[in-house]
Amino acid sequence: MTPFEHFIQWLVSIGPQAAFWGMIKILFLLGFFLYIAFALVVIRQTSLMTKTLIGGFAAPIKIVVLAHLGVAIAVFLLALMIL
Amino acid sequence: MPDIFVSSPSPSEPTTAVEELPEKSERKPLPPKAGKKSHRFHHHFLSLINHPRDLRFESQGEKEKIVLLLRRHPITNLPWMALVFVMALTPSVLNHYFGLDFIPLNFRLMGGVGWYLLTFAIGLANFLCWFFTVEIITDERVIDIDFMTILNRHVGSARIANIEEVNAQTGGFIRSLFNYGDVTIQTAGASPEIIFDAVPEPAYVTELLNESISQIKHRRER
Repeated sequence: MTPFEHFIQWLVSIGPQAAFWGMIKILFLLGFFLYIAFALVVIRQTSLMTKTLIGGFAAPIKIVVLAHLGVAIAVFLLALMIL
Repeated sequence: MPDIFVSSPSPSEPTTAVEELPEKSERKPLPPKAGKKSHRFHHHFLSLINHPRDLRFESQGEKEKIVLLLRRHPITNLPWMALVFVMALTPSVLNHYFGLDFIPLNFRLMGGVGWYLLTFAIGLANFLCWFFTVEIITDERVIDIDFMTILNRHVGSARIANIEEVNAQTGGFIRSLFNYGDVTIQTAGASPEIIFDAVPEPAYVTELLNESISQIKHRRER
């Protein structure tokens, strides 16, 4: 039996409603994972921006984008736990 | 007869004659203390800053001084701010008018969290692009630092001596009302045109640039 056939058999065994929400859960996790990637890109770009224009505002902006990454990771873990 | 008891002058007392302080208006202003911020924090968020003291840019020369820093007028942020506002209200409006009870509670919760994260991301990305997209006029050059999106950066510069023509354009109701517009700088350098997009007080910017050009020409003639 191929992995795809295993997957179909599992979907059939859990019922259509649970299968639907299972798919939605996978989409949610994928979305939150991509969001973590986005938060990392924002940190990298902010670092580039603060090197381009240098001033006293760099530290607060870096704190905000780091907190943003922290929240993105926390949300991903929360989704893993409660979905 | 020698003095038997003479108190020694206390170290706190001045031993030399005290000079009279000049009038307040005659005193020279003190230089800003090293390490202390000479500008308030919120000044960084203005869209027109004259002689910003604690700001530098990447390719700034040692003796080069920033004369003017410009950003797009704050009113140009209104479209994305409106979008963020509408997005922030959407979940409660949907819940009120359509009812989302058919969705399991945990999915509703995570859907809401995801939606607000997305809303915050749109706001953050737009704010960063606005904040770091700056036009700088120094005593030597004009520099255009452009973050079109959070991933794209474009930096253009031209020597003031190479500027051939400066034009300001303010068209439309909103631009006239809030006094902002585009300043187009034609140069003889590698990048033939630099555009300051939607900057406040374009007439003032043009005047300042023309003044700088004439000063440099005078210096050359001497």
